[in-house]
Amino acid sequence: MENGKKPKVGIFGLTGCAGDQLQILNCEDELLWLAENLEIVDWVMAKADNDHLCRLDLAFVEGVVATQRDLEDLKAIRARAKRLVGIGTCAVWGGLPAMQNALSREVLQREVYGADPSFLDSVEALPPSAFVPFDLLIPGCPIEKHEFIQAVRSLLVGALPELPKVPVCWECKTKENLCRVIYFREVCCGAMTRGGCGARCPSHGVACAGCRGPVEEPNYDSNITMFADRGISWMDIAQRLKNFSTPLWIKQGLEKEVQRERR
Amino acid sequence: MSAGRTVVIPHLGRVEGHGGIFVRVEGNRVSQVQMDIFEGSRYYEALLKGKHFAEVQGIITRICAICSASHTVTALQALENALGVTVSERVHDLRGLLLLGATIESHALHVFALALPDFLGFESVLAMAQEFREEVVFALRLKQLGNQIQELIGGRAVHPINTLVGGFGKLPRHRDLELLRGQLEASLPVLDRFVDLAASLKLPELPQAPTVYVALRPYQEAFRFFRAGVAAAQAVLLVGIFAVFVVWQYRLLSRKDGYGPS
Repeated sequence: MENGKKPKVGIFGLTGCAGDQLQILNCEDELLWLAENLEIVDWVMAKADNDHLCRLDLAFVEGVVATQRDLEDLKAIRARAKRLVGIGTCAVWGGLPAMQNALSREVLQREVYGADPSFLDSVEALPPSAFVPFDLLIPGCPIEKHEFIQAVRSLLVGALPELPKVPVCWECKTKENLCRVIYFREVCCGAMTRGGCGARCPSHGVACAGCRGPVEEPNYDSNITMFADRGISWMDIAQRLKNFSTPLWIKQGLEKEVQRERR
Repeated sequence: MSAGRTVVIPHLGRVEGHGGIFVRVEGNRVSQVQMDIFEGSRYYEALLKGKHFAEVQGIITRICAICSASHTVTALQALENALGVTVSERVHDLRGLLLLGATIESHALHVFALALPDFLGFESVLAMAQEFREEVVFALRLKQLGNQIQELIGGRAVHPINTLVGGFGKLPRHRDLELLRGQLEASLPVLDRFVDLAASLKLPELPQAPTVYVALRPYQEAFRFFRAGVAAAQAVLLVGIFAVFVVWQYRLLSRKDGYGPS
């Protein structure tokens, strides 16, 4: 990057499943290339001798902010990084941990742990993109390996990659899959979900779950009509669609429309 | 102040998950051990409430990325028990194969990328690649094979999507399975070299409690993760061993010579 030297890189996970970090390690064919082009100085999951204080040219963050500590760590990362990249749907949209954000932590703790354990550092799960400005956000649950490599290639020359602007639906038609909605009358989120995965799930005969978050201009109105014509209510589709991006739904005032009665 | 030492690792590295450890040693006796698990709570059990049964697998698999196949198969078997669904032998076999692929990937990751660097004096597998490039390339290839098994059967290595209640969305083609088998068999001779390497490693001297080993009886004489039964006679033996184990651990914990919590 600068002065022909390798950029100093940090890779971090807040609260999450570590899937996006694992996807980086899953780039087995490119891993040595990554090591040759990046100077990874802070990556607790993959190396010892980490420098937690130095300035970073590039920081990758996955996961949600679900604890006070997550927020403090996130702010420290933003402060020391020139470019901050969010990787994964949790970092961009909140992902699954945010799915029941309409409920308080106390209710969730009681349901899971049977009491109110006050020792738990637990806050409403929100995407890190809600707290600090990010230079790039790459959705996916997990991220696609090729999107990560492409992002690194762009960043190495000081550019930002473009995210796909087409929905999964478009990729599905390109593969000539039979439509899960029109042909099978299933609840499929593909028409409103960001492409880039090659419509992997419908290609395996499984309706899209929307794990890559919303596409730009999802055109909900036309979708509601299309589903209604096939006997699928908006409530049914919204129940699926909101799973990976609940904070957005809450922000848009749509959550109360879809919150089902809980036992 | 006695000759005491404090060992603090605020954020344990090269594991999945977030935790730290604090150890206080007085003389030659560990006086205090504290683990700090600061992993955020995600309340997966609560997330499932009100969801359609077909969504459960896709949610539960995301508890963890490395072992997402295990979470998936467990969730599906629980749902099938609840719904009274019986799956075919082929589905059982393919799920078992999926788990084996996950095990290969996970163990290759752990052994070569997370643990071996420590033994050979490197801070990461990437640093290790500078001096042991051929070995690291092979290790990554083995890890990749584990992922390819998962991709073929589960549709995706991290968070499988092809795994459904009752079976699969799409069955793998026979020739793709044969291809993978060939690649796995081809890796066996090189794997022997790694076994030699592992056997040559010097392990640190650590006090160890005598260990009771318990195992499952294999189903149909194969290494499997489920449907492994325990024959009645062995069950009695295992119960006996377990009872001895419990009594012996109780006595160990009651000792006052510093072995165990004070």
